[in-house]
Amino acid sequence: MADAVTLVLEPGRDKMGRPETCGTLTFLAGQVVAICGPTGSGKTRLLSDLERLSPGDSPTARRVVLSGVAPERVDAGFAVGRISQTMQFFLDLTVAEFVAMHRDARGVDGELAPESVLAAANGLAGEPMRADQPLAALSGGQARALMVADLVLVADAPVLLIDEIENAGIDRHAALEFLVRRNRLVFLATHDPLIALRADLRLILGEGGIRRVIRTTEEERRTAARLELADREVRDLRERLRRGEALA
Amino acid sequence: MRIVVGGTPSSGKSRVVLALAQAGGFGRLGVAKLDCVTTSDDRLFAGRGLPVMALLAGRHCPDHLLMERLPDLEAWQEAQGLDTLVVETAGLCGRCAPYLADAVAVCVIDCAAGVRAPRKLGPLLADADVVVLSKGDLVSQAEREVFGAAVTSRNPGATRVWFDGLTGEGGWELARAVRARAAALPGAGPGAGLRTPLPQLYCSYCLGRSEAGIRMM
Ligand SMILES: Nc1nc2c(ncn2[C@@H]2O[C@H](COP(=O)(O)OP(=O)(O)OP(=O)(O)O)[C@@H](O)[C@H]2O)c(=O)[nH]1
Ligand SMILES: [Mg+2]
Repeated sequence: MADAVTLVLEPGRDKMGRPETCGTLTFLAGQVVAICGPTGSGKTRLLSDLERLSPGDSPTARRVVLSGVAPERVDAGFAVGRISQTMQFFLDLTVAEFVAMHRDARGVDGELAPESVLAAANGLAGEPMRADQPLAALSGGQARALMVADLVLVADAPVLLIDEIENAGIDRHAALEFLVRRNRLVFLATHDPLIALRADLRLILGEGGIRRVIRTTEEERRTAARLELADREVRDLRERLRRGEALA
Repeated sequence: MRIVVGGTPSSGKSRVVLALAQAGGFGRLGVAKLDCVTTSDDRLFAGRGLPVMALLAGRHCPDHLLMERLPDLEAWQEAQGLDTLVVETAGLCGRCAPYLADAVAVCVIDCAAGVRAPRKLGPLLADADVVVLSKGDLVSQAEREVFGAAVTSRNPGATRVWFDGLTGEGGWELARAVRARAAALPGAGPGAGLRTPLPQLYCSYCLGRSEAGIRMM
């Protein structure tokens, strides 16, 4: 049996050049890790280090080592999937061309039809997109929904990195359900307490460095359950607002 | 060692040269910049303490200039006692490539250029030893992968390196790839010239004509 997916993060330094004091961190398949901290604290930087499995040449000098994944997959750069904060595509392709080309670039089985990725994306975004639509013409929410569907169905990597899913203008609950499964290791940079409390642990960043590592406690999970109820009510009201109903 | 760095204008060639200099392992390194009209790269390199020589092609094509002046560059490398000479050369037409038979050929290509861009580049991309994909920070990971596949299909034998010119990420891998390719170059010896022949004849336009409709073939 192959070893389980394990990601080891060796500390580097923060923006002031001070060493990170968190020690070597080890993450395992199936864990959900939140990355929290003020804007500019280095959340995206950390995601970049993780994405590249950085050998230590980034500004933070962190080292990231992934094991339990086939070396060919690691060498090809296909072990870690990421969606960044960008809400726009750049390439001059249609939705269907993009999905087909990405599938071929990843060497994924040709049976994965672009239509199934499109259908999954349309399940997350409000206004449906069409296969022949140019990528550049998608709205921010549509682009993000397509990125999520593509990440799960095409990239299908054992490690996923997601930057601020809550800002995407898509159904974040549906998106999370879709992303967090099948024994993946998932890192989520977030400002959203509900998303952060879904995680098993959270890394707190400040001035570019990892400041603290907090394990989600039982008490916090109860807070999460309470928040979930409140959130559901807000979502309900939002739907009714859209339909033009009374909100009493 | 000699390294030729080519690529479209503003693709990040100078950042690549600086990353090589910073990564080390190239001994004493100097840069020759060949540009078409003007250049400010010489100041950039001199500011980092690198010996630098700038050549402007003016009314010539920069590839012709490189061929004409190669003996001068070699003499300069000798006189400066450079272990490594990097030639950064201006973006070209897609017909030719500036690569020397005895130098590591590095092509820099900008991820934001679009998936069809790799198909438009001729030997500049197809004959390179190392292809550097720059500005990946401007597009999504999925788009980088699509772009990377388009590049690889044009030159499957090259070592492909992702490099961020702003942060320097990928610089180590880049330097490692260049060193490995240098070790694997066939010993061509001085005077070996270009990998890809320049056009076989000078056309009337190359000779400075400006009226339309002159046919050569
Ligand atoms: N966002 C981003 N910008 C980059 C990157 N690499 C280079 N740049 C920027 O692109 C511009 C051009 O970079 P250079 O390295 O000067 O490009 P060049 O190919 O040497 O340009 P010329 O020699 O003038 O043709 C600069 O403003 C760089 O800061 C990158 O990876 N990402
Ligand atoms: Mg330059």
